[in-house]
Amino acid sequence: METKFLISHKFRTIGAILFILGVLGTSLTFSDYEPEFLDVDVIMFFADDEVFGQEDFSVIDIREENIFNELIGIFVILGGLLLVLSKRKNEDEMMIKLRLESVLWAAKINAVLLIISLLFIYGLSFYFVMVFNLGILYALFALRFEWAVSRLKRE
Amino acid sequence: MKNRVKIIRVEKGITQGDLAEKISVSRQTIHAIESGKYIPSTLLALKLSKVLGKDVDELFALEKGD
Repeated sequence: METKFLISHKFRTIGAILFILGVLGTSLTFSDYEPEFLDVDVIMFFADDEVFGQEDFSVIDIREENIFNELIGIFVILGGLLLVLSKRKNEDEMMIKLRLESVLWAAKINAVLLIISLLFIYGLSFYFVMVFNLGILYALFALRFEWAVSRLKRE
Repeated sequence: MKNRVKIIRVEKGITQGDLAEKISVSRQTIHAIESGKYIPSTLLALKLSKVLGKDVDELFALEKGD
């Protein structure tokens, strides 16, 4: 991972806030929380899903939808990305090595978790696995990286 | 890979912090290099060589199995 792919240190705090808001928001979605002011017309592709029994299929359409889930998903993805790609104050080549190791570790663990989920979780529950998977890679990456940096500082 | 960075740094009376500042890395990186936990890039090895006034092969040497 080269330094040119990293972004300014100041985005780290913004990323952390967005990520935490996203995670908290995700927990609210389980109680079907959908604030009315987020009911808006959205452009929708493939606006039908046989699993949920919708009949009015359309390749592209404009329909009213609550966008709370979408915002939360964007918060998790964008927050996670800003969090893991923002430079540390003392960014140097060893920090880049730790990042690279952390992203590889996170990718491996994420793959193992997904395979276990594919084998043992079925039906609608698997949908929730996919929802969690939006942010789990970033969370694993960030946690592993923070652990590696703190271990380095302790030494 | 074994290295003599710590020995030469101490001989020159330079602290880890000073050396880190001179080659624009963190003090933790210097510690990791000295303890053999991190092998620096060619660029960093050349910077160390310049600051410590020694050839790169005086600072770093291959071991059996490398």
